[in-house]
Amino acid sequence: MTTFTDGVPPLVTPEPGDGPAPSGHGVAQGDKPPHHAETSAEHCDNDDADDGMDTGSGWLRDEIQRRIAAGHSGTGGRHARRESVDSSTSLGYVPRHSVATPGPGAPRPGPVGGPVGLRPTGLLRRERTGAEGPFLPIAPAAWSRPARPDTAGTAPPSVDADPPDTPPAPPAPDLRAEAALEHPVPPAPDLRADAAPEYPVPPAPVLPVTAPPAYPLRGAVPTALVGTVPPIGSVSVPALSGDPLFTARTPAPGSRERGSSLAVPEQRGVDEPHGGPESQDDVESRRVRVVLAERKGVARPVRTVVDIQEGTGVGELLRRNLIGSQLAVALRFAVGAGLTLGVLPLLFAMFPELGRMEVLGLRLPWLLLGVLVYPFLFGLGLWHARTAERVEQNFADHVQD
Amino acid sequence: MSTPALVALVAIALVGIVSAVIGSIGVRIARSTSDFLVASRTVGSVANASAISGEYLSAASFLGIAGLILREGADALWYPIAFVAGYLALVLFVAAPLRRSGAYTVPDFAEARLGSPALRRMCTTFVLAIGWLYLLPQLQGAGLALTTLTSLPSWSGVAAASVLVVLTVIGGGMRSITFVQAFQYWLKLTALIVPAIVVLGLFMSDARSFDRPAPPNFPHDTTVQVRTDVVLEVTATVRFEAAGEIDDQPAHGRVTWEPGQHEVAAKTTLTFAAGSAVPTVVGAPTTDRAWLEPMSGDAPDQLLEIYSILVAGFLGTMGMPHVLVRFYTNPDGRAARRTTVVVLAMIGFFYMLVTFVGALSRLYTPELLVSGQTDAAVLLVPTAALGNGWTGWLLGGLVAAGAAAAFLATSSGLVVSLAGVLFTDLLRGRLRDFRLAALVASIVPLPVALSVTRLDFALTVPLVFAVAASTFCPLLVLGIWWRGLTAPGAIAGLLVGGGLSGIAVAITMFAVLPSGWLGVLLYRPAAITVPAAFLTMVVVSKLTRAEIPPGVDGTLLRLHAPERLGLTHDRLDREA
Repeated sequence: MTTFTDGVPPLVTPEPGDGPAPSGHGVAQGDKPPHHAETSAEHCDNDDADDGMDTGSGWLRDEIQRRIAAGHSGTGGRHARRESVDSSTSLGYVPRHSVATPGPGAPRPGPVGGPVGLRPTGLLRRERTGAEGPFLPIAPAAWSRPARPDTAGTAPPSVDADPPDTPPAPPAPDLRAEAALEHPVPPAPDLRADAAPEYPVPPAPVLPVTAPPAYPLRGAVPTALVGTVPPIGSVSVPALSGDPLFTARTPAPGSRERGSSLAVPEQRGVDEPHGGPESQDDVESRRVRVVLAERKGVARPVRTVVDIQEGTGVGELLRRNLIGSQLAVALRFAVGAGLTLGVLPLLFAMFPELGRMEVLGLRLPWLLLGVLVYPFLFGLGLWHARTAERVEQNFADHVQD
Repeated sequence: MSTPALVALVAIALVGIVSAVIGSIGVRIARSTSDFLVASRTVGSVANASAISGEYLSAASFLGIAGLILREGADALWYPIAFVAGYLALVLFVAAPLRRSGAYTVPDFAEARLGSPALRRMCTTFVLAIGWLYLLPQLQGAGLALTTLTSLPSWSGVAAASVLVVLTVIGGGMRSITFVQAFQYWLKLTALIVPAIVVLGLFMSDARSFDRPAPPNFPHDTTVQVRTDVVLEVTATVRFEAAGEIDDQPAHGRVTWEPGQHEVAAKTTLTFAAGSAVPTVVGAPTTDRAWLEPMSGDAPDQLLEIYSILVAGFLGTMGMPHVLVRFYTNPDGRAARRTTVVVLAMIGFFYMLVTFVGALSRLYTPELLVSGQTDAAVLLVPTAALGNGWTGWLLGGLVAAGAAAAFLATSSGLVVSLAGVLFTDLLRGRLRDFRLAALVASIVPLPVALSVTRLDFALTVPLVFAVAASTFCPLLVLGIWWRGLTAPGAIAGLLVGGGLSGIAVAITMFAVLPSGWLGVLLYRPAAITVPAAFLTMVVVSKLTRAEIPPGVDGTLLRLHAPERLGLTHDRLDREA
């Protein structure tokens, strides 16, 4: 679900008079900047506990449904080329309830920056948010990305960063447990990457553009969210905390995750219809600024992506896994083709009678070497392309989760 | 000039004109340098695959393979297999990572991966050497087509082909080349399917079989003009009229050959009556039955030759500069892979047809076995099968158009890739320089093509593939998959592979080959040179482990990670 460019956390920060968002969140956030996990979980719990105002989850449900719908009708889904992905999910997205911005049906602005400069933008953003601190004074800049409320994509790492000392708020445990039930065995990333080449690769089309991949993690998350509407943090915790790689080796996430995972629900809560109509106008007027302000940043890699780029332990492992499994796949196909083709001349040399056999009115060598070998090579190529795509896709899914 | 010659000339001219028109339409779309060089990386999968196939199916494929099959029979089937299997290797090892490298040329890739200017210069040299070496047979093939179909001198074909190529390339760069080559693929396919169907119909109604212990027969009274000295082998007594020099003696009038070998000097005319047995060039299977069965020659040497051809084709395709440059026009790595798979289907089907036409040409144009000009088989089959008449002439014209398309497509693709290398490495500059580079790239091989005697495609093409397989293949494969590769290792490997295969090329072209396995290895060097190059690269890289570039992990990751993670950068864009 929250796939591609989800790396960009919505840097929405509440302003003082920003609707009913409880100020306690801000406090929690400000108090313990390093413990995002804690705060984020807590904050989610708070949301639920707070005066029966189911804002966070309600928003989330809507948002996820919207995203699923967008994914289904979108331009190409997870395999779409980078540009189209960006434009369909992030650039073109206009916040709901926004009056001043063009409606969702309005023509999308073209990618301003183009696919170039993804990384610089990411870096730029990181340092800025780091400098700015989690909230308040920099609201306009932080607003710039309402297009990516991908809390599910960004929250996990931060939530996960510090599980032990997370004091679960009263209502939280059951939700968390429930979510955990959804994923009895969270698949470990390296396993997935390894298993990829083993897939039998049926001739069926590789993962339809619209549907999420079939393995449990991704499939389960949306269901859980839509069905039970747990707060964001608790949903993603089990998925990742079961993953030894993430718990053990991942360094504390950068400052930018912090602001996002914390702030989003509040913001969205404000955005919710139940969330106090009087505040809505404020939000919207600010939104306009947001959308126009920084659209050119196309995508920023999620933290895991940064991990593999920067060669941390996790990244190194992931990279080796990807290259290793791709090489294994390629070599397997090459050996298969080489053996098949290489044995034939030897056979014809050792058993000349083979060359005199007639099959279907043709001499065997002519039938094999003049006709059948080409469909064989084509089939191998097709099979390999699909296998390799699947390996890549698993890697990317995994990295972006 | 005869009517068929005129028809053929008109057809060739039409191909040239249509190509130029498509090129000039494309040029209106081409606006930036990126458009010029890599079609802005927005060419669709099938269009790109057509273009790649159109570019790849050169004179060697269109004419050479059919000629080889006419002469060698079942043993020649390995050539097209090797050329197609090369794309399987591309899909497996190179296509997607190469596209993701974001580099435009092989030298660019080498520098991006290993960060060594020296290596880059060396790669530039090899790209130019391979490209020009491969341009030679293309240009000479244009000359052959023209001489065979018309009575024009062969230099005019060479010159005309160069001019046309330069015009299309200068006109539109890669973008228009893409469309031109896509068009040329479908033209070539048509030019092969139609005669294949016609000849198949005739063959079915004839009910003739190849399974006879006798040499092929001339279907009609046939006059053969021998153009180069040739040694013929006869298995049954043959009587014919001769005018010229046979076995070092002037021969005029009736001649009777007993079984054995006979030497015929150039410019001799032999006239055979219908039904008489066809003498064949020495070394080729003499009887139809031997032709039909594999392994007709000396088994160990022939096995070595077959394996060497397979290695050269399988690994050499990825090293051909005009093939590589095509992969940068794909939008992303995944599309590059898919394009390659489509290419596999396209050229596989094409070679099936070539094989078929080549086999049937043994029935209809056996005189080529006497003159040794077997490369002309496809060109002559339509008229030979249909006889003199408008159907035959038109069909001949279609085939001529296809042949012209073959030369033009490969040559312009080669010129674009060579010009790209010249442009980015030697003449760093703007658009104008790209045109200049294209001009230089196409003019350099011209004098050589005009002066050197034409060799069989079957000889020259696998040689060029062998050079590519022993240089760029190890560089690409190790560069993409092995983090331990170092610049000194790559340079050493290139030197060993390129040096060995270069020596083999020189000896094959300018000296008489020894017989036995050594001779086989000299004109089919891939079996030795490719492993040698790989080994050198690995060993030297291991010895110079300190030279592993610092950012190697990031580079490798970019090569293999899917685009949606946002790690890939286009070098060209970045520089701009």
